[in-house]
Amino acid sequence: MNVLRFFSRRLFHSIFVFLALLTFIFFIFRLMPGDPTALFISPEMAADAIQEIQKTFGLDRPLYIQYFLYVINVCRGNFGISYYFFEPASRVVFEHLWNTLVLTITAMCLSYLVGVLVGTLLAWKRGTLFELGGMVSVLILRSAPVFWVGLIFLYIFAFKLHIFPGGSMAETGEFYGGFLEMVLSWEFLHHLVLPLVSMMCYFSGLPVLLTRSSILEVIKEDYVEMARAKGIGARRVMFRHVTRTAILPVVTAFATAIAYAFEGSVLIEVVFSWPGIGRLMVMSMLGNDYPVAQFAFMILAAMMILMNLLADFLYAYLDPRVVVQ
Amino acid sequence: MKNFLKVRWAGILPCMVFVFLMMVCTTASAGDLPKERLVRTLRFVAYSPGEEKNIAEAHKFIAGQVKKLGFQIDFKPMLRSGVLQNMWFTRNFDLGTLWLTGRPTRVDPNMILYKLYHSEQDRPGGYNWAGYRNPEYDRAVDASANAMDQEERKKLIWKCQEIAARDVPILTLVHQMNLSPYNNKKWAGFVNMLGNGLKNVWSWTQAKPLTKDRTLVVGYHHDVGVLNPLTAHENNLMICRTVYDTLVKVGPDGHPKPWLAQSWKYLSPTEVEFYLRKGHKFHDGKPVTARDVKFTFDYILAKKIPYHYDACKIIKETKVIDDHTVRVILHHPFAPLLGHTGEQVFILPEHIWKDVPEKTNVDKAWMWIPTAEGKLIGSGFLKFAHWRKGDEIKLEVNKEHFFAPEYEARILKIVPSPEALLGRLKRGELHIVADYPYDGVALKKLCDAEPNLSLTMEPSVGWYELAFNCRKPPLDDVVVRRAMAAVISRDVIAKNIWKGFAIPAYTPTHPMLKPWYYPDAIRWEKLGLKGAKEMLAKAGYEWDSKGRIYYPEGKTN
Repeated sequence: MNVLRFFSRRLFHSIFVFLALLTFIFFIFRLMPGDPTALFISPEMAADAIQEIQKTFGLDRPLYIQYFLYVINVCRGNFGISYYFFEPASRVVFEHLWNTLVLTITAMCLSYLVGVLVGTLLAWKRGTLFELGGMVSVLILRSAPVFWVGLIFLYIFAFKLHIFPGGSMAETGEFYGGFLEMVLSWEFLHHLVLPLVSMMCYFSGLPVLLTRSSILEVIKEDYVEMARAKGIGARRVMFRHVTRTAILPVVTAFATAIAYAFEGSVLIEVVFSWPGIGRLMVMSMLGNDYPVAQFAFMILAAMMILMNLLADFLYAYLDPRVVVQ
Repeated sequence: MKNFLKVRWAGILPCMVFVFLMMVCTTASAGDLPKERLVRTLRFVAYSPGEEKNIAEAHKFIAGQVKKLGFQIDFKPMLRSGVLQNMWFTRNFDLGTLWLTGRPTRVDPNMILYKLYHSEQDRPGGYNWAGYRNPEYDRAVDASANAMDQEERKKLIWKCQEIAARDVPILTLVHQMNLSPYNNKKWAGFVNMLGNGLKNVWSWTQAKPLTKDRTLVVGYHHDVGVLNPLTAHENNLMICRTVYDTLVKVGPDGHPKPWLAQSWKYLSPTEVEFYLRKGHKFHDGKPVTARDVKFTFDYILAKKIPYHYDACKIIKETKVIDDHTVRVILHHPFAPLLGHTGEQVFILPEHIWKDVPEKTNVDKAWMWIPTAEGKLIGSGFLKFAHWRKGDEIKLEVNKEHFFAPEYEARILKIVPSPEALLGRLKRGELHIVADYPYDGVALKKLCDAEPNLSLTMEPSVGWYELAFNCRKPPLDDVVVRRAMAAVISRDVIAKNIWKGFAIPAYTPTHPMLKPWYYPDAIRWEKLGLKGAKEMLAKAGYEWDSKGRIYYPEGKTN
């Protein structure tokens, strides 16, 4: 009962935060300088044409009316038409979002898998030269700008060794029946490798460091000593007792990292010509394409809130010491 | 004690005298130059894209030079949409820089000379952002549009340029180079078009594959939003110019050439007959007839299509004479008809567009997305094959076209980073970057070092400009504008800032465009700083001890 009440309260909070965000997003984009129709301006056009375009997009109305229409439309599941693509903002965003998610979710999952393993290994080999070398390289990769790593990979593996293509998502000129068909093709995997590895270099730093320090904390606990004293085998102690506790902060970090996966990585997408959501968001903000920018940020905010909520659930489930009060 | 006081007084007295003298001096000088005559701080809005260091340097140069005249500058760098909001929507600026892209429709001098300088365009939504009003100029530009005799038209266009240079509402600064690097081992035959570089239909029809690879891959730096022949964006037009035919096309030399219309004849200054090519078909097999041409013009006029309306509003009536002859009757003689209307308006298939937007899900024809329904159907030399959003657009060759290219398909590949553009061009993944928008110095170095890369440089018909807001003081005064023009040397900007990757723009018309370019337009920069100050002083402007400039007597902010 208690648990249910706690989570319903959390859910209520989340919905409130989300609604406040909607309002914030609406106004923040309109406070930016510029006008969405500025993109259309060209001397070929008639002088009154811009007013006509503004009217078509409903931009000639007072801001508060635009806001109420926006809220009503969002409630009805209508997120507006993009000023640049002339398609529903939701379709534009999802089209780009899938491209991003294929890359980022894969990168995240692999990074956390590799990260936890490497972190455990580093904790085990504490004090050795292996740990020192491992830590230094992780820290370097973690602090190197991700686009720089990407550019270096691109330079070496694409432009010097000619092993991988120099960017884009799929074979030039090839027609794919749908998104799945493309993702399941060999060419796609070939194109995926470089951006994936560049992203992993950055993403795996956090789980490595977290796992390592967390294990070093936990390993000193009395109950671990107790388990050892009981005569339980070293591996069993490590996995059943140490890692299960030590992995908790990594799980939270993973949940929020997944939320970040939805915003993509603009820099990686630019370097590898990947048609993802990050590039779309930057473009929609530079071009004052409010519907697309709003919807993209709404999805991002929703994912953040949802994943934080999920992290709380997971924490309560995984750690018996977390008690709902 | 007494001695001490004496000493103190001895010091204070001269001090007091000094202060008194100072006060007398300052009140005296303030009396010479009353505060209300001090020229206010000028608002300089500037288009500052992050990746363009040339533009940033040019801004620094401009602001520095204008300050030398005693003006105070409030410099506001911003994005393009912000600049347009200030210069175009709210007119809230004193100085402003803008970049105008080169396009085939902008080769004929009329559109720019009319749109940017005519007083009719000084109204909300008009393109005369400088707010320039001069009846003498208006008469000249109107007359030039009506002049059907080339010699007479030339004289009037020269006059327009002469006045524009004399009154400087806009200081045209430089024509930046259109940079087109391409792989010379794989492709040949690209055509350089005046003011446009290799990005033009003549290139796309005449390109020849040198290897077995018969798919031309074109690299482009910006995402394409929509493909619709009625919409304005340059990246959309890049595709539509090849998928749709127009009656004529502006040729590599800047003058109209036959395209869908094999020839034309002026029956009178207001009546033109176009003779269409026989047996030509749309991509879906239906013939292209005079009725489609009539439909297109009528449709644009009836629906007031924003992008094409201005090009067609000169048309009073379009008559179908027979299947291949169409007669266009104009309201009054219009010399740029071929270069502007003929080049710009895509001939639409009537059988598809007659239902748009009525039987579609959009309210406006220009918002319709033909690609979503497989209806991006024109009669051009390339036909639409597929579009992967944000990645590539594939067009296949229309083998039945009168100018069908030798290759099989053309792909537009979106590559948004300069490093990847060049790397992929070098590796051969891309074959040509038709309009390279980044640093020319690095590009030239790469192309010189790589034997399989060639680089074509062509000064753009578009330009980079400094507009003065002539609506309010101090820039309503032609002397101030001339003085500023005198200190902003276009040669310095072209040679030292663009490092030769731009040429000075002394008039709004491209210098290679014969016979329209007027070579004797006045160049105020010959006066230099000293001459500029003398000119200002002669007009009654004064400077205070700090070097700040004051209005002549009787004029205030």
